[in-house]
Amino acid sequence: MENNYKDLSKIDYNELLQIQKKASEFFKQVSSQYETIKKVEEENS
Amino acid sequence: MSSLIKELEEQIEIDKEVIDVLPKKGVKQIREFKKSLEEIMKRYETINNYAIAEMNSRYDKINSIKTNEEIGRVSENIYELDNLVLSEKGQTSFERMQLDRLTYKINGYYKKNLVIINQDIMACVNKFKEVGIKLTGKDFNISEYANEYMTVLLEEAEKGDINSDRVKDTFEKVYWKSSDLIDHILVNIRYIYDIHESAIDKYYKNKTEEVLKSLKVTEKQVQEKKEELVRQLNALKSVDGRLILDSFLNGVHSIGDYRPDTYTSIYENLISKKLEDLNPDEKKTMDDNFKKLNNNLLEYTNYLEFKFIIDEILHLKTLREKENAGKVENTDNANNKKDKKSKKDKKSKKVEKKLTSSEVVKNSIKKSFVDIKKLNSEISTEKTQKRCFFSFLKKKALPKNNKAVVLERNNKVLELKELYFKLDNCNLKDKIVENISDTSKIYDVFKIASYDYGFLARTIIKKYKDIVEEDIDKMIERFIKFIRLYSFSVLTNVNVYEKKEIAIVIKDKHKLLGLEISKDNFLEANLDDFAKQTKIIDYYNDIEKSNIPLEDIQFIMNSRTILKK
Repeated sequence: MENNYKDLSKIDYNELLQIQKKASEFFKQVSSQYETIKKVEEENS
Repeated sequence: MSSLIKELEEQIEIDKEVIDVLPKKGVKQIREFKKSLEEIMKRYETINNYAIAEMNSRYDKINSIKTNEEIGRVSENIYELDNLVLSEKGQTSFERMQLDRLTYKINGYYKKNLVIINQDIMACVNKFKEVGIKLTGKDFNISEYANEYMTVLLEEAEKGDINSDRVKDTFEKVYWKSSDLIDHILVNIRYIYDIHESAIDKYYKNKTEEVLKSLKVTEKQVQEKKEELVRQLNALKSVDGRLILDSFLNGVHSIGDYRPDTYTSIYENLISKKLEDLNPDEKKTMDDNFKKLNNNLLEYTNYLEFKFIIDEILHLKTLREKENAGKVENTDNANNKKDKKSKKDKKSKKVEKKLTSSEVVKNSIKKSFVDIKKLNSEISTEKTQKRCFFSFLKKKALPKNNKAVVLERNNKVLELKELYFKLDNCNLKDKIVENISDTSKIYDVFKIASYDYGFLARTIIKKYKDIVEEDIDKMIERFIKFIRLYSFSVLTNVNVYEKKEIAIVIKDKHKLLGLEISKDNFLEANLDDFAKQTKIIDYYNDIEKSNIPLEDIQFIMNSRTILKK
């Protein structure tokens, strides 16, 4: 799926900004969950 | 919506569900869940990186836009015409060398540190160099103090360090001998100019001829040529993509104001019509009208900002006219009262009556310098040294009675400084009376003011008591740029004594051209908003004609924080 985003040269400014925003925001959300689960794992071990 | 955005949104929903349903109990499940999160994170990190790379590439491409080189060339031609030809009538070579600005700055030395003072002194030395006069320590001969310090400063300047320990040590040593050291240097610079004045005038005369020759214009065509160049420069600048982009990057304009719907709404409000009802020709005519209105408003707002300068010039004109008519005492010649009382000066008094005030002060300056020269000779202790004005260069302890002579000489130097100030005031008033008449336009008065840095600085301080020097400089720079680089149509036509308000003149003209404006738009509370709206319309039109699309500017402004540019 990621490979579809390798070449973004054909899309317009608005779409490019939206893709970046959506990917970055979801990445942040998942990262936050990841940090929480990492802590749980460390406490359990 | 593009398929890529749709695909991304769908994938996000899928991944959200995956995260929700994955089991997270026990060590093994948590490890597996963590692994899945890592994979998901990697996916979005990769997409984000691709997007950032593309954004960076587009940003750099847009931002690599260059200023039209023609702008620099036209500006240079305007500068040459203005500084080397047009200024000839209103400016002395002292002002053209910018010595008025530099000596004004040196005179305020008590507010600054030695580093700045040294820079200003060396700037004066370099100005003399530019006109072909290379100064050495020997030229600073007003006193042994000025000579000692300037000899070291110039030697260290040759080595490239005007703030070396040697300069600081010499300043420390000389300052304690005479705390008036900087005043001595200041007076010395003024006198060096006096000595070389005719050579400097000749230098500028030759330069003027060179410029006229290179631009292929006669003296009579200069003003016309300058106006043509200013129009050309403004036309080039108004559609220059680099300058437009910089105006947004530097915060002069806000991208939020430049949306098509904002433009349409302001436009329709000011013409009381729907934009779609205008045919292309009508729209073009209206755009031109908005450009004219915007230019007129810029002239008007600048006029309001600097009106206090006109008031001061007219005040000085009235004062000088009263002085000339003998209704008030001539302050420039007040110091000559004592001379006039003297019987032996009765003859010269008759001669002085025929002289202008500035000539009287000039004579006092010459006399004062002869006195200083004489006292400097007396300070010398050896007969053989007496022939040489620079005899104090040979260091010798001064006999006790010489101390009184040194004191007298120091007082004379300070008197000479005052005389130079009087001469400046006198020259300014004479210039005002000579050049400003009942038929003068507002622009003529501004132009005269723009030639005298000291006058501008004093007038600004009079108006804004607590203003700091940096802001004075900025205001003067803005004022001079306005006077020299603007294509005027209002201030060059309105008489300085005109009773009718300029705002009404502008309003009436543009109302006739179909704009829905009223006197209220020009009220103090509304003027800024009105000027801003007109500016948005005109600038929006310029952007459309420029080599940078509005969407490129929007992209730059929207992505610069994300890209940390």
